[in-house]
Amino acid sequence: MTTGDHPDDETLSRHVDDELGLENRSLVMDHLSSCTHCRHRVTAFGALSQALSITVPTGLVTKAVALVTAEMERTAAVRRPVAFSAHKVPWWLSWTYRGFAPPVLLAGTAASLFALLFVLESSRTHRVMQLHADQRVVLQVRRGASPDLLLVQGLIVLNLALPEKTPDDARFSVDIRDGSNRLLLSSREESPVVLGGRHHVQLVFDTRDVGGETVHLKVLQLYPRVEDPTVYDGDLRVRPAGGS
Amino acid sequence: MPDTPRDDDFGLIDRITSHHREANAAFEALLGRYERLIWHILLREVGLSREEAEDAFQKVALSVFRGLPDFRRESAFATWLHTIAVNEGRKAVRNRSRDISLDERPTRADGSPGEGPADRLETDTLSELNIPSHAAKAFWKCIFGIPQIYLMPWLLRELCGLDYQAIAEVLGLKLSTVGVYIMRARTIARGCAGQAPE
Repeated sequence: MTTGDHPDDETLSRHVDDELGLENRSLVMDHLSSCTHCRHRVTAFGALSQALSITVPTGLVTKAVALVTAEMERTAAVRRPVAFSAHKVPWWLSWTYRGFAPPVLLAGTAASLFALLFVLESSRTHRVMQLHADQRVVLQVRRGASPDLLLVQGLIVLNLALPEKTPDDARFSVDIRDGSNRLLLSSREESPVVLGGRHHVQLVFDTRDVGGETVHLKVLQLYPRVEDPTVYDGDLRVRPAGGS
Repeated sequence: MPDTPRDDDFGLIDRITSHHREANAAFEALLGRYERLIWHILLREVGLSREEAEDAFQKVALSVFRGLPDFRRESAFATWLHTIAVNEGRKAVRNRSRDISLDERPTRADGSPGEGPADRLETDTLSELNIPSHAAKAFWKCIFGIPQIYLMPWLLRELCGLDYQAIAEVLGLKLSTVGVYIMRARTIARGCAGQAPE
C-alpha cells in the first residue's frame, strides 16, 4: 500500500473514489493530515475528476426515448407475440422470422425452411418466395445473387451481406424505386452492422407503399471508394398479401 | 452501493428486445445510465459541437435500439455502446466536412470574419475544461490515447458514477483489477495535464 513512507498511487486513487476499507481510509487520512506532498497528489487526482465532469443538456434522453418509442411502435405493428428473441437464436438462423407464437410455430418453421431453400437455390432459379403479410423477415442479399428475390407484403428488413473485407467505417447508399421509377426509399450514410461476424447493411422497408409487383434496389458503397461501388443492383418481387 | 449494473444492463436489454410492455422505460433507464459517457465521447473524443452532438446522440440511441437484438453479449454493453457512439460521431464529422470545410469561415454582415466550425469546436471543448485553451486539445488527445482497458473503468467511475464493484460487473473484471486500471488511467492522465508525479 505504501511507497516508502507515502501511500502508493493506487491507494490514493482508491481514496479519491472512497473505495478504501475503513481501516486503510483512516490510515490515509492520518497521513494526509501531515503530508503536503500526498495532499498535492490527491488534489491532482481530484482535478482530473473535475476536468472529466460534464454537463449533459436536459431532455436529451427524453427526446431520444421518444424517437425510439416511435420506432418501437412501428416495429411492434409488424411483430406477433414473441416466443424467443433474436439474441437467443443462432446467427445462422437470424434471418428467419422472429415473431413466432406457439400456435403458428410449425407453419413458421416450414416457411423459414422454405425461405432457406429459396435463398440457397436463388442463384440458379428465379423462384418466388411466399410469406405471410406483416412478417419481419431478414433476407440475405449478396452481391451477384438472383435479383428476383422476395415476395412480401408489409414491413421487411433487408439484410445485405457485404463483401468480406468491408471496414467498420464503410458507408453505403440505398435506393429503392418502384416500376415507375418513383423513389420509395433513399438512404444515405448507412453503416455496416455486424451479424454473425459478417458485415451487413440492414434497412427496414415497407412494401405496402409499392405500386406494382417489382421494385428496383440499388446499393452503392460510398466510402471507402472502390473500383466497383455497386453492392447490389437488381429487381425485387413484391406482391400483395395472400397473392400467389 | 448500487445494484449490479451488468445484470441490470442485460436485464434491461432483455426487456427491450422482448418487447416488454415497459420496454421504453427500460430503454430510458439504459440510456440514462450511459448518457454522460455518450455525451463525453461525442463532444470530446470525436470533437463534435454541442449542436452536432445532440443530433448524434439521437442517432446513437436509434442505433443502439436497432442493434440490441443482435448484441451478442460477448463484450460489455458499455464497450459496445462506445463503438456505436464513436461510429455515429465520426459519421457526423464526415457530414460536417461535406457541408463546410473546417477552415471555411463565414463573413458577418459587417464584413468581419464570423465563427467557423473549428472555432465552435474549440470553444465547446474548452467550456468543459479548467485548463488553458492552448493545452485543451492536446490534453484530450492525450486522454483518448490512454489504453481503452484503463480508460473505460475510469470513465465509468467519473461519468457514470459506478463504484468499483459495479465497474467490475459491467466490464467483467476482477474487483482488484478495477482499482489498478483506474489508477493507471489517472497516472497517465496526470501526465496529460502536466501534473506528472515528481
